[in-house]
Amino acid sequence: MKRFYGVLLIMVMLIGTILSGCSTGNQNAQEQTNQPAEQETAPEAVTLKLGIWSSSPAEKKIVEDQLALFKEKYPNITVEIETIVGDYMQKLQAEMAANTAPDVFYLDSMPAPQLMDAGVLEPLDEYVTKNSVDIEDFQPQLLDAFRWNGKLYGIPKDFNTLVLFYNKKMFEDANIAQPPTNWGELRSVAQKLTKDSVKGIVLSSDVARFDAFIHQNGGYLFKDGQAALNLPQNAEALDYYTGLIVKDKVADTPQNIGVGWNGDAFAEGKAAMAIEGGWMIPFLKDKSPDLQYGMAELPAGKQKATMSFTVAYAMNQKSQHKDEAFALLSFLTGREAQQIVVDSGLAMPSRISLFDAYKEKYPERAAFIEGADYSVPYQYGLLGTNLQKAANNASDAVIMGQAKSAQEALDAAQKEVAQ
Amino acid sequence: MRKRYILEVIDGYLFLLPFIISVAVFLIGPLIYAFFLSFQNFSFLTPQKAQWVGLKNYLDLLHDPVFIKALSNTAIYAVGVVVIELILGLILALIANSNIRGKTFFRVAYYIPTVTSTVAVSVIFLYLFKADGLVNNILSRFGIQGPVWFNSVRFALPSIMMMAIWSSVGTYMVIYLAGLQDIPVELYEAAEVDGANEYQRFWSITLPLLRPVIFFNLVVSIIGALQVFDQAYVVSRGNGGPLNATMTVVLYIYNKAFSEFDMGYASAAAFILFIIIMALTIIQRMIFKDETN
Amino acid sequence: MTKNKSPLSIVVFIFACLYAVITLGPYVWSILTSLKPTSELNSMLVNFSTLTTENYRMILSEFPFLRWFINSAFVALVVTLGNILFNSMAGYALARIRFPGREFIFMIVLGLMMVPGQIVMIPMYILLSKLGWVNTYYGLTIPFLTSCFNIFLMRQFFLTIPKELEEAATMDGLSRFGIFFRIVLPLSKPALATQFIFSFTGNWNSFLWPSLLTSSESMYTLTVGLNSFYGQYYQYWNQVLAGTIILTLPTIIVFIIFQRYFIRGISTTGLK
Repeated sequence: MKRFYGVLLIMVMLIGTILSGCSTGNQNAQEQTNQPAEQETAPEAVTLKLGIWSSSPAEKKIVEDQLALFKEKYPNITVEIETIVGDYMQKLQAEMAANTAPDVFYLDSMPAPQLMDAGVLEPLDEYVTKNSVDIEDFQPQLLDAFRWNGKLYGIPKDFNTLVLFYNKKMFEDANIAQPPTNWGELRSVAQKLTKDSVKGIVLSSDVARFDAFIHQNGGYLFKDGQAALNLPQNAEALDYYTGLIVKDKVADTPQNIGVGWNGDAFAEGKAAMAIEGGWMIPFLKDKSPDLQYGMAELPAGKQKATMSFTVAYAMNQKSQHKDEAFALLSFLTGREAQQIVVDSGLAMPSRISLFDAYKEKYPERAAFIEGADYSVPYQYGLLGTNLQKAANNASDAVIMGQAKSAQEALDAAQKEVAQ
Repeated sequence: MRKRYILEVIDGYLFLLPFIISVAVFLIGPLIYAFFLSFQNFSFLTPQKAQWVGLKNYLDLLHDPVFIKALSNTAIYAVGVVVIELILGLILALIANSNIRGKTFFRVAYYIPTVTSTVAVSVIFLYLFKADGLVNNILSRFGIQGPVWFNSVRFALPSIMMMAIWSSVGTYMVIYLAGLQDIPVELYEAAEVDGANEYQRFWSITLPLLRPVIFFNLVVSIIGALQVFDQAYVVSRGNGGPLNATMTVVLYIYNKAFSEFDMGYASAAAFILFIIIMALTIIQRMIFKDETN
Repeated sequence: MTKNKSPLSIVVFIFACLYAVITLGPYVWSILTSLKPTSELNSMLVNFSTLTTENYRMILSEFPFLRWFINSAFVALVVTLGNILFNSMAGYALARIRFPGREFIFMIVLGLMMVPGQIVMIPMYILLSKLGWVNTYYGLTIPFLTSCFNIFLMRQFFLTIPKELEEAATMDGLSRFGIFFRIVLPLSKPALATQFIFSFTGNWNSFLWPSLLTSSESMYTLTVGLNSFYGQYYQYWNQVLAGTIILTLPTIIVFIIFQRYFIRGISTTGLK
């Protein structure tokens, strides 16, 4: 009996000591991060937390390189990277509620309105003026994605637009000299390229792709805080997009082709064209290094349009070191740091003054830059993911034959969002 | 006698003390908090703007077609998965407990899917069940044109059910297995002497004595099935598609809470699910009520 | 139980093998894929001459893998030991000791299992951050030292143990704790082994909570670490699967060690 209590006691004590032993290291680290807050008198010792996600090792390397430069300029500011694993918005939300959120962090354009509206972000206008940041150098559409009620809440760190990737060999074999430039050509070119095991183009049932066609047709899904999913010009565009799959049978979704996403279908030669962004380039280099491909602007409808995807750096409204945080934020979006983005080739710099440098370095990628001027940020205000989901359901419904027409599907989607 | 009774009470609570402390500190508080949130228009981003809205969240949910769809998907999922898991789990346990050759091998083989991460299981299944994957390849040899499993309105949910059964039936097998160990060998020996064959022994000894374990498996599998989240989340990349075919209640709650920041509404949905599970558990307890004696 | 080769036992054996193929097939495929070089990922065939351990080497060398492994092992072991002790105690009280409020506490155990965990995550996170436990081993272990699932499991098992032995022990003057530790626990090896397997694999594989709670790479558990890696290499199934195999192996080993307690006779001979 006593032996059992002895064992029990030892076990409890053991767990206790191990726990305290192992966590001291970390508690010290925590205290260290807290200390600067109390020592406002010594401004040279500031530690900032920088919240990012990492979608590729190359992306993380960009940030690390940028921070190395930052450290040279501001030796007094230590920056700790917190790479958020798992669901980014979930963790950010929890950290904000508990006041443990990073000082400066990545903010995607899609959830940005919710955060801007909630007042958890620090408005940047004053800091921009105070530090005379050349804010007009940023591509205006990208900047607008982070404006709310007239205030600026984030500075875009880079961006990507959608372009048309085309398989050069397949184009040659089918005697097609030029990539299609309008809807009619897209259809006929896709027709020529479609063979038994190859589709002319791979199109995903995703609003992040077909919304470009809606804008090309003069439509929009969202304006002035309101959903406008079922406009006739939207239905016309969705009808064209899904028609390539359902009626013309010159296109198909990655799922029906049997791959994970558009990139796979294109890389594996199962589709001759694909609509994707710059993230395709490193992917293709890795997956099919020998593939000869070109990149062109998206074919135009009534007008040219493409989607832009952008991520900004935003500042936590509860940051203890706002001036230092802005120094970091403006450095990361400054010319020097943006040059690193250019050199990496992973995304495009958000600064107009670097566009030429980018085009010079990557002439074959000019289409991305051309698209910037007529691009629409992927963002639906406070309706955000709600609208995104409803729109995806609409295209799913048409492609899977669950709706009679694009108009009917969009009517249903509009109803779904409205309530 | 009175003293003994008091001692029993003290012992009872002493044995439960670690559980009571840990639950009181870490779970009950957050739960009550969440319960209050379910009557508010609440977001963790703007706790200062919270508004008391009474039963509005609950009433809205009952008219929310996506939530209703999520409930019906979850119900279909639960019925299919629970029935198959409980039966298949018992069969596998009986096999792994018999004198079959390579017993350890079979135990490990059947348990392996249970310890594999959901992400990996999903990757494997997405690969096997893709449009031109292995499964459709085999089907086509029999002249059957296989569907696009995970991206078809009709087959997406059954595909997820299949995946769930494959990956968690091992858990129930292990529980049955441990339960089978508790049945005294002497009972079987006595029955054999009386001339009972294998089927009779199974129906008159194994099954009745496994009652508490079956009750456990039933309750746990229903609770687990009604809370299905991982598979639906990974396979549909969080959106419950195609066309809400894989939208489950917990996935719906998750989306409301973490991508639409509507924590009050999400909490109300969670408590509706809680009430449903609770009612089902009470019914099961009534059916199995003599199991405590 | 019969040793002669009856037709039934042959059918059973065939079924057993078939199902093993179903469970192991995808696994074999995963291992083969994890050994493939990226350039051969698309091919359904396996070219044995090009198989390589490069994917494993990459994961083990480019990431603080050892640290994550130690974190996971430490957390899973502490939580499992706590679970074995505390859940068994609680399960025993709920199965055997008569006291007012027992039914109520049992309903709470069941009830807590029914609430979707996602809903209490943020309140719990706020609580732990007030305690200063974010990004510490405390936060990863202490809230999980008991588990309703395992308490319920243990209760159900204790219900199946015959009462006579305990009654005899009471006559001999043993206290409740004496009965529990000296008589009941030694009889419950299959149940304890089951709990060990569940508790260990459950904690080893848990992702949502550690991903929320840890913020520095040195505190990541293996699942969080590997998921940060999945996030970056999601297009490369060979590497993702190599990571998964690394993640899965320890739990399989734990299972192999503890499954031997499911051998008929150990727990029950001598009873009755």
